[in-house]
Amino acid sequence: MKWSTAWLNGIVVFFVLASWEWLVGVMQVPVYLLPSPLAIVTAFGAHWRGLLVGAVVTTGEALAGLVLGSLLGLLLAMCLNFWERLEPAVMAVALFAKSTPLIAIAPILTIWLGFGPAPKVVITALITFFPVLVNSLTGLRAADPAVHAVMQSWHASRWEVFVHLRWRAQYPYLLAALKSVAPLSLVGAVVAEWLGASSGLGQLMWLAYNNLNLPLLFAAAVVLALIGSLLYQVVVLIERRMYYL
Amino acid sequence: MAVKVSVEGLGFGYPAATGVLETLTGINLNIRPGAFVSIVGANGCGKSTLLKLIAGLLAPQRGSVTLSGEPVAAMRARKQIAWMAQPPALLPWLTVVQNVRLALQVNPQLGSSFRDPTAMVNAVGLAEFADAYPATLSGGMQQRAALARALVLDAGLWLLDEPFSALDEMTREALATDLLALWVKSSATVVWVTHQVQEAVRLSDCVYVLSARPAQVQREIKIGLARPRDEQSAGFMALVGEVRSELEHPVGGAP
Repeated sequence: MKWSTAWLNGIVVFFVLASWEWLVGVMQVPVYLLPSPLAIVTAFGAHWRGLLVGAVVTTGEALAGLVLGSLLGLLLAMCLNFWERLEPAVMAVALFAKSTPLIAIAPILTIWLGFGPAPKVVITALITFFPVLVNSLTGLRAADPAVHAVMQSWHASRWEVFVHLRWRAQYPYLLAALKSVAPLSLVGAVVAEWLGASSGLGQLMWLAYNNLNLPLLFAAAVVLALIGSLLYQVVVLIERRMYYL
Repeated sequence: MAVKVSVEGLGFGYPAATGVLETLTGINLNIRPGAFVSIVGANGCGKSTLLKLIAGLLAPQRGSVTLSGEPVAAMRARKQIAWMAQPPALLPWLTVVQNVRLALQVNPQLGSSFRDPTAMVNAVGLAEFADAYPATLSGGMQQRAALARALVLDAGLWLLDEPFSALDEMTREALATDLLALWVKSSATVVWVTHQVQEAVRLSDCVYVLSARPAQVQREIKIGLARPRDEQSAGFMALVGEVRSELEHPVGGAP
């Protein structure tokens, strides 16, 4: 980012925050309805240890679920690439898992797996695997037919076509899916924590909500947004490193 | 080893909303080993389909294709077919030399002869660009890389589907000259699909003119001129005129 762009962005953010602070003060909005930016910053200072621990726990659960869900999606896409006849059955099960509301699954998983990280990881994996499956499968099938024809003329096996052509051809599709599901993985972890957890940002937000401590609730939301942006940027960085000219 | 191409009563149609769109019917070709043959015809008459059938990329619905008396699949399994089409079809994540080497990595055949990938890259004039990625090359250079990849196998049959038609005239002529030089050094049989009549007469021993769809061989024109060919000679001009005349008066065609 150029310095001029960074300055411009900084000025815009400052202007929005200053306006927010001013409006909350002028209109005397109660803190339990909308805290001012300064109140949120104060909450940061007062609860930084809890926010930090919560962030570590939630990020760990989100990353574990993201890796698990992505690997599952990738593996299923690879299977469907080789055994196309399995697609209707696999997609039916995948759609069922995708369409069932999280809010319905989370309590059941909490009963089965307890209040620890396990149900959060499973829920996050359930959120992430479907976009990875669909995008990866699309990418595997979108390989250049002209290259495929050349490889056929060499009598390439399906495995060779997969290794040399399809696997790399799906990278842009896979990375697009990861860019979308990386921040989403946090949502899965937080929703699961909200419904029953002994730690994590979701649990912290639930406690803050029940105590009408909106500055802390907002502070936790800001931390989540920052972690989500960071996860997105990590995928962007991987994408840049992988991209050929 | 040069390959003899025998096509007998070949017929093929593509599925269409109203049944089958007949593309080729009763095609007979008999191409001697080591010959350079061009196939010309109107747009959409089925030239590329014919080449795909010879390469085994499509299965014949009627008739047969044999290569030196063997089924096409057997010849492909021994990597005796070099295929090149209009899109360079290079893998963008591999360098030029890696793309060329890929031809040897896929279906590796112990004992089959092939050329050194680096030497092949040099032979097509890309020595300085061996480690470049395709996206950094011009269209002509990409086609040179594709040519190196096709010919690194030292295959007995080269099937070339309008490989240079997307390039400007000067580049096309330069590449065709390079191709001709490589063919002269090899003993391969070449089947070349093209729109360029002059190019077909300049390069080929024989030109097959296909009729309108569903295509048949309308005429087989032998090019009995000595090489290198003088494009200004009366004989050359007469042959160009003969092929053009056949193309301008196609027989058959869809009703």
